[in-house]
Amino acid sequence: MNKFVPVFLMFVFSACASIPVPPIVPGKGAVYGTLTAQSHSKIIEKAKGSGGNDDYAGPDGIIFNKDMVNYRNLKDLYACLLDPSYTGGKQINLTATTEGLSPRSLALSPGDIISISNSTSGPLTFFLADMGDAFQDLGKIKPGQTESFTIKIQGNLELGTDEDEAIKAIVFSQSGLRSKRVASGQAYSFEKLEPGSYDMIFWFWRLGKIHRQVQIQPGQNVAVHETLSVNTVMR
Amino acid sequence: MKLSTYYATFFLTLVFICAAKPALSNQTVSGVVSIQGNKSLSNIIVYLENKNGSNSTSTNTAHEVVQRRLRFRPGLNIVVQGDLVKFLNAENREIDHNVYSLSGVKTFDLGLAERGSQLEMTFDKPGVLNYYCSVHKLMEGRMVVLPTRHYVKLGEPGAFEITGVPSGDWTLKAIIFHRRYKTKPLDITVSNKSITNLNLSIIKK
Repeated sequence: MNKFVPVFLMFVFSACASIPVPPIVPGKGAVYGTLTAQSHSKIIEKAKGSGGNDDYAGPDGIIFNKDMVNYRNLKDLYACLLDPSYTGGKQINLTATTEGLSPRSLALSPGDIISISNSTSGPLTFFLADMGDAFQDLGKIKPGQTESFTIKIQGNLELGTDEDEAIKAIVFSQSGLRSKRVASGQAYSFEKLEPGSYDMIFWFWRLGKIHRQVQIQPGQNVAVHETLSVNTVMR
Repeated sequence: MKLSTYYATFFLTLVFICAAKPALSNQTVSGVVSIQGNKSLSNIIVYLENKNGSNSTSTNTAHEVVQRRLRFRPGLNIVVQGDLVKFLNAENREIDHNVYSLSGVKTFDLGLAERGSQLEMTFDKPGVLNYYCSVHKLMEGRMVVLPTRHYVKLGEPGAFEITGVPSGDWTLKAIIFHRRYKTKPLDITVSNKSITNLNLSIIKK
């Protein structure tokens, strides 16, 4: 058994080494970590228990087929930090095609700018709205053109068009929200933060949000690794 | 039995019938749904909400959502608060399905269902929620939970008719899924006569 310990430690070390740790800045702090998406615990359990007998189960766990949500390959996970001093300014690029909008989800703050390229053959009139009265008219973009818009509203919004109901994205907008879009298993970091307490939100549109609070000390980095799955968002 | 007892019984029966009459009223509320700019929208759910909050849901119904060929069928479900929904795994091969929702209307995770089994959930709060299978990417469904059974679903804007409406004060509303638009609700009072020629406007936000 003991002969496996060095191998295990090497594995842990190499996994940790692959996460870029932010540089220490005197008087400031940082939070960093990885964000991973995972299947429902019951399907993982079943896949492991079946020994490969189910069509999605391999001897080591799930084998994702084309019909399944491939949690290992999800691209639109968001690690967010609520920073009251942040007033926006970040630019996010989107492309509209007849297939829809890419990326399909956005996490941002009022004051951030979305730049939309219309790659369809017709004009598209964009708006942002929630299920209630929150609404922002963004305007028309001609085919082949790109336009930029500053976000003014917040909430759980939809970025949609008048012309095509399939061209839409899910938008999570909150004042002071600094966001990093990562693929499942990848690293994020928020650096040069003033010392204090911050709320963090980890989000994937189909899995919901996990809320955490982090205490930033001067000259220190805090590691927060999170996993989004049906089980972790429900707890 | 004495004659006075017969009279008393007759009188009480008469009182009971008269008292019950308003609850038995069966009026119709009808009109037209119009959309600003004549936009063509599909799946418009027109419904009545009782202004006094006494939305009758006394006879709860069970609904079925079938999971077949990796889809929820139907994808859009309309139920009334208090109704039970059964999710049946009717795949033709061994595929497991899960049903979950993270909506503020109802948050739930029903676990895993093998082929031939079913999961159940009662929806007790009105609202619109999306639900998913955590395993299969195209399995998304939408549940509209209404406060009353007095509703009609329209495929497109146009004429509507809601039958069997009891007397009372009601608000006529509509649920639409295009977020550019919202409904302008109408307050109506139903008494002994049907109400016709209403114009329920759906306007741009």
